[in-house]
Amino acid sequence: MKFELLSIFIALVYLIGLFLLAYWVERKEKWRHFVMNSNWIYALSLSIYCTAWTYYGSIGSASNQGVRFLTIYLGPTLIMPLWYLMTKKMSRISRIHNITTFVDLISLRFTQHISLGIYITAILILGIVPYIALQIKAISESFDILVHSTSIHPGISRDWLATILVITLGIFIILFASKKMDSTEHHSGIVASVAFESMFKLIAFFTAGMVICFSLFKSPSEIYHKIYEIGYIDKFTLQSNEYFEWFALIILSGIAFTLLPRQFQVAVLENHDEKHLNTAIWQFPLYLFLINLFVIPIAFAGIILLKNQNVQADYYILSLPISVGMPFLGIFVFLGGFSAAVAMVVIETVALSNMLSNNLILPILIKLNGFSLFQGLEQRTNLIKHSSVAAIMLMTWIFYSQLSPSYSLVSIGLISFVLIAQFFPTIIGVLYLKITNVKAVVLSISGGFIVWLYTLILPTLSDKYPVVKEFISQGLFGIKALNAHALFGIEFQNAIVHGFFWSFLVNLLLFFIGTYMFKPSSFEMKQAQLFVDIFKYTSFDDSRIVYKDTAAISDIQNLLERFMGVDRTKLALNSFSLRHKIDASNLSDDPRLIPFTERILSKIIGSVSAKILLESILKHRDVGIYEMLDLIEESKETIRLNRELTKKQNELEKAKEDLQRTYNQLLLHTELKDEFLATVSHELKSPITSISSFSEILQDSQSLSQEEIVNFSAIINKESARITRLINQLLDLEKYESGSEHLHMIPVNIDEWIEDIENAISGELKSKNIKLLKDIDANISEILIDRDKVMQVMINLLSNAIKFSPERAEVKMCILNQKDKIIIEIIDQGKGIEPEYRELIFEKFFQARHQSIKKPKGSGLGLAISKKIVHLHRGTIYVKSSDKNGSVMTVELPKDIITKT
Amino acid sequence: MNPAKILIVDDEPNILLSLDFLMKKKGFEVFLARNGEEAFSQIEMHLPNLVILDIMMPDVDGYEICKFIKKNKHTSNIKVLFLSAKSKPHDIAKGLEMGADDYMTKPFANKNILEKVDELLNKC
Repeated sequence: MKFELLSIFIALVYLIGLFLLAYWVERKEKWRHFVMNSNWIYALSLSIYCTAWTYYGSIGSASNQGVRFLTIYLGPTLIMPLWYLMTKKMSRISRIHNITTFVDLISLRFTQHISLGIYITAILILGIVPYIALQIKAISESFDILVHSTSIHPGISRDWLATILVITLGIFIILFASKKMDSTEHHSGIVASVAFESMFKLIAFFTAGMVICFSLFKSPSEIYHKIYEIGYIDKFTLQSNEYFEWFALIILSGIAFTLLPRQFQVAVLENHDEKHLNTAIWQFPLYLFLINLFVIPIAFAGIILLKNQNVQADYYILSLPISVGMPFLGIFVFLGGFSAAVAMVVIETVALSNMLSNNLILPILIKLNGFSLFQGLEQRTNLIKHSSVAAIMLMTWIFYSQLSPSYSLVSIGLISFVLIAQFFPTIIGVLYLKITNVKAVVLSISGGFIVWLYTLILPTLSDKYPVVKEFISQGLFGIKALNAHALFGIEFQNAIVHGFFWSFLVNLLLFFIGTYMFKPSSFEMKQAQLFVDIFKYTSFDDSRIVYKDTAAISDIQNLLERFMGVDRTKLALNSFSLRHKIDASNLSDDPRLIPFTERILSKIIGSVSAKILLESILKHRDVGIYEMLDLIEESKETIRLNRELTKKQNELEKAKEDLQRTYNQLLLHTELKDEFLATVSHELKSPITSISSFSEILQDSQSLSQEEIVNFSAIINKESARITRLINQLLDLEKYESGSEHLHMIPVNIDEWIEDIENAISGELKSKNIKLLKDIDANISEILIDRDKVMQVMINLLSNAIKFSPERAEVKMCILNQKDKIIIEIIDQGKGIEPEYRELIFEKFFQARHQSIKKPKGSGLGLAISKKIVHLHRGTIYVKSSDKNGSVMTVELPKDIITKT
Repeated sequence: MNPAKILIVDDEPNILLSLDFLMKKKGFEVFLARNGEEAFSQIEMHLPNLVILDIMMPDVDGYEICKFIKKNKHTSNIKVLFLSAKSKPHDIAKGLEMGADDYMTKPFANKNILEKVDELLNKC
């Protein structure tokens, strides 16, 4: 009794120690930084993979089934390269899209509807809660062995301990994880305690191994000799019929290591620096190697010393020290197992409770009631989060109390592994396949899930329900082929491999059928672009996903206040306006406000709910740059389908690349305001509208005549050239505005120069039958200018003159030589320019923004670029005169730098 | 029954072409206008059942045309569908205030605009 109390006391002190560690790390900035920036702590937190099941169960598995236990560790080790690629991508996506749970990742990729998230959350909770219960069972059983010497007695103290433990851990999680409003924030305190626990369990296991090998026996070789004598060694060689089983278990555990909610939590969501992955790929396998080093010697020692004493093989590591009278080593070992279990329970519960609140409860509440019905949502959100933790812990406890004692630690864990594996094809779709769609995902998960239920869960109920037992032995509806242990009569050595094989096979088949039978929606295509090509979009800066929505500031304020209170909202909006140097009263028009709000809300209620809420205040989405890229991408795809048009594909591809590059460059210059970007996107819409409409028409090409195909292709071609032209001019303008464009002054022969200009516009002249008159001062023959750039100005002015003049009119070009300057005048016979617009026309996109005086089409950038070029020459450009009979455009270039007589 | 008459007003010739093709294929009688002036004369001449109307045009803007249609007694039952690159909420609100029956943004999916046209014509 005294020892029992002492053990409880020590366990309690240990637990309080963990709490304090978490508390300190959360409190101290320096510690927090250390935890977030250490690659060792990251690798140790990954070692949460080794639960109590590893700690105790491996030895049990080794003594009953030989080296097969190794598959569970070979899987993660072998999958490391793939894990690295997938985890890196998942981390980046999670950071950019404010992902708070594994479910977010899938649901955001495929749908705007909340039901997919709810469905997946329900499946995951069903599959993972037993696994948590298993850890509680491991703690309570090991405690029993510790205090009641070497065998397991069912007793009150054990369940009492489990209950206390579930409650304490629930409180711990609420205090350190769900208390935070921001679920994307890193839980450094918890991560630190998990890393400590990983270290502790390794040391405890190692110590026990050393003591058993070198104190109970003389050396490991003595153990091997003895086991050889009793003829047990046969179990430790691989039989030829086990290969498939090994293969399957290695794949299974590799997948589980990548996708289990607790692994996703520590590897992806708690990842602070992608570089930590580079070191984790060797640190983690090293950990696995070390923790497995003594498994076989301990299993052998247990067989030799405890074989006939009715001791559960799972707990050899604990029973051995106790049976030889080393109770304190026993407590130490117990604490190691305790660490393994506690770490797993905490992280798994954090992960599952976040899903429960962010993917199930909050979306449903928000969808049902709309946010307007909620008052004091700030408190409610917290309440919901805390209740989610409590709910998961309660389910764990219920499952624990129902848990049949006949289950070994390993089997329940593996059943959870098989369930998690059902998400593997989906995640591959999320990360790598743009053509995957929500139907394929639902089919594959559902198919796998049903087979999982039938082959692995149903049989566990057979002890309680005789009907089920009958099922199992006879097959469903008495059909032998549907026997839950051997579907289609194919026997496997073990139920897990059987269940995994069939569920995964069905899952994969449905996934491929779904992917190829159904087409992704435009939403899915857009998300696919953002997810699959995440590295492309985020290479230069992480926060550059741009939405072109705006919303009334009052709506946004209202929304934020409901979740974070009046003061914090004010603070957030103020800091936003300060950071972007915009007037606080002018916030509504700033498109950056939407992503900003979405980011804040995601942190509080998860990205799915945040999206739903924001949709409610943004009824109409403007087409942003990425949607535009998608449209171009789609048109490209259509064109690919039409063999006649393969050539155009490259042009569009190039236009798309240019657009993206220009866009990135424009973003770098803060003086270019969002209004400008909005205009650019607006100007791109007309050609894109034509391209997308005709591409769709061409897709249906069987009903088109050859002539129509040629005509429509030509239109697509022309409109893509228009996009390209606009992009080139944007590039030009960007160079001038950033000051990176310089003049290349050369002496220019005026006659040759004029001739070149005439050649360039001859087509335009001819098409409107316009005559060009020239009046060039005879006493200049050579001027010093940037030949090409001033030519660009001339061509632009002349093209405008031609465009605005009626057919068969005359356009005149004069070059005058004055004392201190050269004066160029272009005179047209157009309708003239209203006085109030004479300066404005030199602004970029003036036409687009003042549609009421819209004139024939141009890019809207020609005069703006001309003005930049003239200014670089230190000259001026202006409208000299204008009336209903025509206008005179004048360019003055100062002579001191330009002339050479 | 005679096919429904649709007038399409847009200053982008290629957008006009694609809509012309789509609507004719559906069996509608189609008229085109590239600016406000042409639009007014087409409306007077043919009294279409539906006008697909761009907002930003060289001479008169789409809002004016819409106002004219809805104010005039013998044209007020013509359905007006705005089709514009302007997609800010207040643009759309303004379009609907002018009395338009619906509003679509560019770029559009062919299927969607055909559905919308059917929907509006069925209300006649």
